[in-house]
Amino acid sequence: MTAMGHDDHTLPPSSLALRIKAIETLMVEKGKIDPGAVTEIVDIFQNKLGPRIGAKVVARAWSDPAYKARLLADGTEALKELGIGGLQGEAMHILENTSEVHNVIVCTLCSCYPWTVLGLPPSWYKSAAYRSRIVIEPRAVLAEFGLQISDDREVRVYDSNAEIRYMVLPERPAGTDGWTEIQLEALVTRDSMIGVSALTAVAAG
Amino acid sequence: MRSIADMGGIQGFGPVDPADDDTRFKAEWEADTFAVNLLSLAAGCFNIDESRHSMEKIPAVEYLTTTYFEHWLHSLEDLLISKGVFSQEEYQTRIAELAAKGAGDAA
Repeated sequence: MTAMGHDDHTLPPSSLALRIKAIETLMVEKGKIDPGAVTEIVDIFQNKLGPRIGAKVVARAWSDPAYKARLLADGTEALKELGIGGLQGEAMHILENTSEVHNVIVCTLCSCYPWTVLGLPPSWYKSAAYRSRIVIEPRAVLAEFGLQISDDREVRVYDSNAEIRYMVLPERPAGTDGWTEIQLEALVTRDSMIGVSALTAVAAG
Repeated sequence: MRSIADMGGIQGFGPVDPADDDTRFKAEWEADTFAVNLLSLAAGCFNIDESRHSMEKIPAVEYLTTTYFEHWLHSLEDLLISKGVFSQEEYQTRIAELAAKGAGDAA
């Protein structure tokens, strides 16, 4: 169904590409969108934002206890210190994984995701299966990702929304004492910051 | 009324497929839809709650049988026309013009 409504059958269904091109060109003509802005936004999301930004934040938090304390107290402000700002003014909350608590994020209503630190979400994050099940059987879903959470460890599922986005601060792997932030950064995976994987201990490097 | 978009806790969608891992847009129209939505929000043509509501009221069968970015495109059409940013006539005329020029053939 398009916005043309149920009673209008005079035009064949227009292709998706034609529909968005029509909207884009009208928006440019009406002065609502600058020419070139669409290309610029796509470039930012496809090529500039991504989980390496989040990995830097994690490495900084592991390396600097004072920064970590600020990050957990007010994620939005602490990210600004590293030059990471909200796109739509959404607040960022950072969830710390510990030996007692494992955190995982979802958006059950759509696909709210911490774009500024992780970029665009993977397809499975937007799937009906993930959105519906992670909130009722998180341990089973995490097991499908190969992550077993022991029964004595609490699992907390955070449902993101338009105003608040979450990112998980994974546990620092054992065997990384004395590592530089650059070395630590390289260990941090996107999935560990969503909360569907953990970072395993590594051999002393 | 509970919308189909309110998926938390619904059973029967089967297992998650972690291998379905791509983060990139699958087609140019998806990227354009994403960007036009963000830019329309930034321009104040509608707000995030209106955008979400527009997608949440998509009929359940349609919601489940259309792709993720089709929901976004639906929402753009719904809000920009209902708020008078452009008219239904302007929109259909533009689609027809673009079709005549062969735009969109690639997608």
